[in-house]
Amino acid sequence: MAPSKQELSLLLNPLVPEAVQHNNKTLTNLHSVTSFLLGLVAGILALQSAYGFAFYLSGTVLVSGVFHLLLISRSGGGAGVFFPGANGEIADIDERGFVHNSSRAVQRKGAWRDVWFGGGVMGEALSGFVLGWAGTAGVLH
Amino acid sequence: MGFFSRLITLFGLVLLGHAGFSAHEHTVLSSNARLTASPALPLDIVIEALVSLVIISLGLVLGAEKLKPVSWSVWAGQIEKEGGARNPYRRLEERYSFWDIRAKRKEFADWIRNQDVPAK
Repeated sequence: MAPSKQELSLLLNPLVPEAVQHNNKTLTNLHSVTSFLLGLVAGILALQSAYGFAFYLSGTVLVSGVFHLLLISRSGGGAGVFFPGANGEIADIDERGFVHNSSRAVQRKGAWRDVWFGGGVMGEALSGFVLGWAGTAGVLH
Repeated sequence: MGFFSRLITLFGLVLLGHAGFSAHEHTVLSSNARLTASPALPLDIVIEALVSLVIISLGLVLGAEKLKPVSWSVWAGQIEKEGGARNPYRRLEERYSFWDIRAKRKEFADWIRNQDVPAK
């Protein structure tokens, strides 16, 4: 059986597990700190119920945007240079292993999803947000 | 970069603390006024809190650790450029080659023979 596109991508251009781990850890650290901060601001602004969660979502989008702009775009290449995306599949690769892409750096399929939704945004970071939110709202108002 | 980002973060934290303190004062003052509905936060506190949020997140992102490229080829290329000190396969790449065992044996035999000659 011919290898799938994802297997082919990993054969032609393998990933470094250590670097993947390091990048994910950096992103998770950033998100857990900033989500607590977002919680503090939401508490100061006395947001309630759905407004607070909407604030959290827009705040994480802001942080991910700044992260993307300052750390990823500035170092050349897209998110695929630093994040594996969908199991490391290369974007625009065909069945024979040729990449139909104009950019020089290797792009991984769905890597932007790691930057914008990864890093525990819907997990640990959210609990940090709720902690900061409830804490400051309780103390200040 | 490290010092600069820390300075930005610290400045943002000061702003955030000030915004929080102002919000607290505002609540205390308006509760003394015995109003039925709690009045909305003044616009300057809201703006200060949001600006501090942007500043702190900028500082934190700038202070984050440098990302490493995940593709093996890019990573290996970086190591080669740095001179290969971090190469995990260095032990395999820098080995003694095979000995020329015949030459060594001949050398040893010559040495033994030279030792024997003056003894007789």
